[in-house]
Amino acid sequence: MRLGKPTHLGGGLFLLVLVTLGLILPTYWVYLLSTVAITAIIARSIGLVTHQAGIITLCQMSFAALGGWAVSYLAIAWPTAPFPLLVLIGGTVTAPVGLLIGIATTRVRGVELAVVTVGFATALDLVLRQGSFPGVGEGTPVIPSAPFDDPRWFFALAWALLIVLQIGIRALSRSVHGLGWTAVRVSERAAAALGVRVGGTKTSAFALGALFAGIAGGLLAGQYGLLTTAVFTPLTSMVHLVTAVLCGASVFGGAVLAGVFVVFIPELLRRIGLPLDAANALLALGAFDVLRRGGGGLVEKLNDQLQERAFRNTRVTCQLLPVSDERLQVGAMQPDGAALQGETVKHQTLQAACLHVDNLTVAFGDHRVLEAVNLTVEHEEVHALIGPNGAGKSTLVDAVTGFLPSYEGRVSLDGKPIERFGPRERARLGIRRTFQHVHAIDAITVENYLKLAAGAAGSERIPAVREFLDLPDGGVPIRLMDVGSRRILEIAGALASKPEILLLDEPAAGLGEAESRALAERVRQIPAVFGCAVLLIEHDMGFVRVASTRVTILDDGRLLTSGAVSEVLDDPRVIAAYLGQETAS
Amino acid sequence: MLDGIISGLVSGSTYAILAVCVVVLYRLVGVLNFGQAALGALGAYVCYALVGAEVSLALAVFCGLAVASVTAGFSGWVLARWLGEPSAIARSVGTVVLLILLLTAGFRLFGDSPRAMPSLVPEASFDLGGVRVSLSTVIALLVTIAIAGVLSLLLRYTQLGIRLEAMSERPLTVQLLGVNSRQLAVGVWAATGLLSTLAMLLIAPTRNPTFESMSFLVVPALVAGLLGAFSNVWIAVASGLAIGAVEGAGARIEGLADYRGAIPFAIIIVALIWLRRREVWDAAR
Amino acid sequence: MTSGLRVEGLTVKRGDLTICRDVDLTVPKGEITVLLGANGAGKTTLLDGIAGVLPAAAGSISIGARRIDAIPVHRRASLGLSYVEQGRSVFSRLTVVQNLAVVDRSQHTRDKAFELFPRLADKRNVRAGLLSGGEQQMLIIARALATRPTMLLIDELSLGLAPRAVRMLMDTLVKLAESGMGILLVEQFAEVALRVGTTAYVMERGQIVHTDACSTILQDHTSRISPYYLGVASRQQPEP
Repeated sequence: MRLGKPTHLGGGLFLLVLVTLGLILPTYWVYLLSTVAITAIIARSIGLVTHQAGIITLCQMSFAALGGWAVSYLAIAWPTAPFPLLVLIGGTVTAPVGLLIGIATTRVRGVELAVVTVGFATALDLVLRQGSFPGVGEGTPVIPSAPFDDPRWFFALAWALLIVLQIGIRALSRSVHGLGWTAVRVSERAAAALGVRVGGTKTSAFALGALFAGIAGGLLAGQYGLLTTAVFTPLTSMVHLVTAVLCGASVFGGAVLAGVFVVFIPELLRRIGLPLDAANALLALGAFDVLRRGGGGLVEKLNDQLQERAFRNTRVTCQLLPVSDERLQVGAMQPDGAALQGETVKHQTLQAACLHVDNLTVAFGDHRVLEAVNLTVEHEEVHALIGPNGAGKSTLVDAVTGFLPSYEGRVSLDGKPIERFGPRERARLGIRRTFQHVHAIDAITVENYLKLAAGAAGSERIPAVREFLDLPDGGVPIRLMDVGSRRILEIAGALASKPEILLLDEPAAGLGEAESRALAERVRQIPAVFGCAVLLIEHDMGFVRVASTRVTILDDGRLLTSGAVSEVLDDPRVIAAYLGQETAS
Repeated sequence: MLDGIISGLVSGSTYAILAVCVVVLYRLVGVLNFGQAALGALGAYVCYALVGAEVSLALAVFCGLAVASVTAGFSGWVLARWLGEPSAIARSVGTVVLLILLLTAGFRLFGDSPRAMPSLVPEASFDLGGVRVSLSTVIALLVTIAIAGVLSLLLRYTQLGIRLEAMSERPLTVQLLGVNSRQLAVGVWAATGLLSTLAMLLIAPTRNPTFESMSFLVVPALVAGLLGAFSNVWIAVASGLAIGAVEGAGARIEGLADYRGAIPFAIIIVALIWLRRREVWDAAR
Repeated sequence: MTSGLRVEGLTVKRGDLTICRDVDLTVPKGEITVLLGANGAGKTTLLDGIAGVLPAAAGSISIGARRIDAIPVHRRASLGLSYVEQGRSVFSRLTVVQNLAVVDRSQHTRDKAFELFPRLADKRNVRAGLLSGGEQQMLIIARALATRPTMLLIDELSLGLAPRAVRMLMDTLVKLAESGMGILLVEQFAEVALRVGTTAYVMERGQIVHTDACSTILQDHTSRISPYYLGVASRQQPEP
C-alpha cells in the first residue's frame, strides 16, 4: 500500500478500519478521532500552501478562526440550517480572505511572504480578542443539527469531509493549474517561462488553503460548541506548520499523521503526567530533525522510497542514440507528419523573420551588458549565439523572453513587436526557453511535466516529443533523473507547447560526449520536425557545427560577426581575433 | 495626537532595534529569525526574575544580557551546524522551531501571567513645544540611533564588517580563505541576542507584557525589516519607529485604539502593494 | 618526501554517494601538477576533499610532514593550503581592495596583488561583480595568494574565459610555481594545462587511472583534444 497514493485496496481497507473504529470505540475516543480528522484538514491545507506551492504559511489557524466565527454566527442566526451546510459556508466565506491576501502579495515571495502571514495572524488574533466568538457571551454553544449532534455521526462527517477534500485536491494537483503550484515553488522564473501565471497560481493556493482551513474551523465550532481565541493564536498556527513539516502533509497519510500527533501527543503527556505544552516542543524538535535530514517529512519520505523501489528497474534517463545517416532524413524522423506539416507550411507563407532583435541595449547601472545588438532568426533555422561567458548571451535571452525589467531597442516575433508583454505572455505567444540551471520540477513526473509545459497546446504533441528525445516512461518522477536528462526533458516540454521559437541556453552542459553529439543532431532537426526556429547558446563548437546553420558571435556585449556556420567558424580573422591562434590548430 | 505619537516612540524604538537585529542576521547569515524577540524576552525575564530575587539591578541586567547572548549564539551554532546547507526557507522554519521552544521554556520558567517590570530609566519628563516628552522616550531613541549607527559603521569600515559582508555572499569561500565563518555567524547571533534584550528592557516597563506577548513583538519588527527589504538597516529603523508612532497615535483615536495592534499588518499590505508594483524576477538563471 | 602535498588512499563521499575512491596523488613544490578527467569524473569532489569542504571518508592528506585530514576548512587554509573553487568566486558586492581585505588589510598584500596583476590596480575601487571574467579570475588568484599559501588548488581556471585571458593566467601560474609554490590544476580542457604542467593525473569514475609526464600525454592526446579547439568550451553544469 502506498500511503500517499492509496490504491483501491488500500483505500478500501482504510475506510473499513475507520468505520469499524467509529462504531466500536468509546465516545471519548471517537471524539478524539474527529479532532484528528479536523486537524488533518488543516495540515493538508499547509501541505498545499507550504509543501506544494512553497509559501511558508503562519496563519492557517487564523483562517480556521474565520470559518469557526462564521459557523458560530450562522448557528445563532439560522438555527434550523443543516450543520454540514454551515461548515461549507464557513469555508466558502474564508476563501475570499485568502484570495485577497494572495492578490495583495502577488509579487512577494519566500520568507517575505511568511512575514505577511504572521502579520495577518497577529492582527486577526488581536481583533478576535476584542470581541469573543458569537454565542460565547450569551453562553449559547453551536449544536450541530441532528444527526451530527451524535459524536459518531460527527466523526463520519469530519472524516468524510477530509476524504472528499483530499480527493479534490489530488485531482487538482494533477491539472495544469495544480502542477503550476509545484512549478512556482521551484522557481517563479522557470514557471513563468512555462507560461504559468505566477501570481494567480500562488493566489489560488492561498485561497484553497483558506477554504480548507475555514472548513476545519467550522467543524471545530461544532466540535467544541464554544470557541475561544486560545485555539487560534499565531502560536498554534506555527505549531501546526511544524507538525505539517514533520509529517509531510502534502500527502494524505502525512496529513492524517499530523492530526494524530497533534491530538494524541498531548493526550499521552496528560496520561503520564507531563505538562501538555511539552507536546509543542516535541513536535518542533521533530520538525527540526526532518529539516536537518532534508528530503521531506516522514510520510513524504516513505512515499519517495516506495516510488524509488517501484522504478528501480525502469529506465530513468533520456537515452539519446546517435542518429544514423538515413534517419537524419527529415521525413523518416517526422513522428506524426500530417499534424505537423500544416504548421510548417504556415511559416513558409510568412514574410517577416521569426525573431527579430533590433538595436538591443541593456545596461545594469553603468555597466552596459549589451550594446546595439541586431539579430535575426529566420523561420526554420537553428541559429547559434556564441561568445565567452559574460559576453551577454544569457542577458539577450532574458531580454527576448521578457525577464528584464527594461531594455532599449525592439524585439519582434513574426514582425509584431512584443515589448508590452511579460514573460508569461511571451511564452504563450510561442517564445520558449530553457535555462542554464536546470529547473525541471523534481517533485512531479515526466508526464505531468510535459502536460504542464504544453499548457494550452494540450497533449497533442507529447507522444511525438517523447519519441523524438527518447524520454523515459511518463510515470518516472523527475527527481530520479540525472541533470543531463532533465535538461533534455526541459527541451521536450518546450517543444510540446508548439513554440514559434525555442531559445536553448547551453543544452549540452552536463551531457557526455556521445549524448551531446546525439542531442546536437536532434536540435538540428527541430525546425523541420516541429516547425519551430531555434536560437542556440552553446560553448561546445562541435555541438554548434552539427546543430546550427547560422551563427552570431557576441563579444563583450557587442555583435562581432554573423553568418553561415562554416564561414564564420573557419574565418581566419575570427579565429585570430576571438578563437585564439594556438588552440585553433 | 502628537502626545500619542511621542509616547509610541518607545515601542517604536524597540521595534526598530529588533528590526535591526532581524535585518543584520538575515543579511549576514541568511536566517530570518522569527525567534528574535523571544531571545530578548528570555534575557529581559531573567533580568526581572533576578531583580525580583533582590539581586542588584546592574548584575541582573548583565545576567539577562549574558543569558540571551549565549542562548542566541547557541541557537546560531545549532542552525549553522545542521541547517547550513538547506534553503533559506528551511532555515526560517528552523527559527519558527526556535520560537516554539523558547515559548515553551519561557512558559515553564516564568509562567504566563504578566509581571510588573521596573523602569531602568528614572521617571522624568519635560515639556517640548507643548508636548510632554518623557526621559525614557529620549533615551530609547538615542539607544536606537546609536545601535544602528555603530552597526553601520562597523559593517562598512572594519575588517570584521568586510568579512561579514563577504560571508553573506559566499560563506564557503570565506572559510577557504582561512576565516572561521561559523564563529562569525555565532558571534552575529550572540550580538543580536544581546541587542534584543536591550530592546525588551526598553519596552517592558511601559507594557508589563507576558513572555508570549513579548515574543510576538517580533511581528512589527519583521514588518519594519521587510519594508527595508531585509537589507537596509536605516529603513528598518525608520519603519520601526514609524510603526510605533502610528500605533501610539492610533491609541488616542476612539474606536481604533483596541485594534491598533493590527496596524503593522495594514501597513505591510499597503507598503508591499506599492513597493512591488513592478515585476521583479528572482535572480537565478 | 616532506615537501608538498601528499594524498594517500583518499575516499570522498557526497552524502551517501562515494565519488572518489582510493586516490593517491602527490603535488611537489615548485611544479604544476595537472588533474584531468571528463565532466563528472570526480575532480571537483577530490579537491573539495583535499580542502576539507567534504570530509575524508578514508585515507590521509598531508602537507609536508603534517596530517591535515581531520582539520577544519579554515585552519587548513592557515596551514598554507589555498583552494580556488570553480566559478567566479569573487565577493561581487565588495570592491577589489575589499576582496583582498577579507584576507588581509595590509598594504603589502595589496602591492603584491597589483604587482602581479597591474590591471587590478586600475580597478581597485570597482565592485568585483562588475569586473570582466578574466579580471575576476585574477582577483581570485590574488586573493588566494594573500593567504600566503605553499600549496594552491585551482578548479577550472579557464572556465568561460577567452583564450587570451587563459594564456595570461597560465603564465602567472608558471611564475608562481617557479617561485616555489606547488600547484594542483584541474582542467577539463587538457591542452592548456598540459602545456604548463609537469606531471598529470587522469581521473575516471572517481579513480586515478593514469599518471604520466604532461609532455607525453600531450603528444598522445592532441588528436583527441582537437574537437575542443575553441579552448573556451564549458560543458560543466555551472554551480548555482
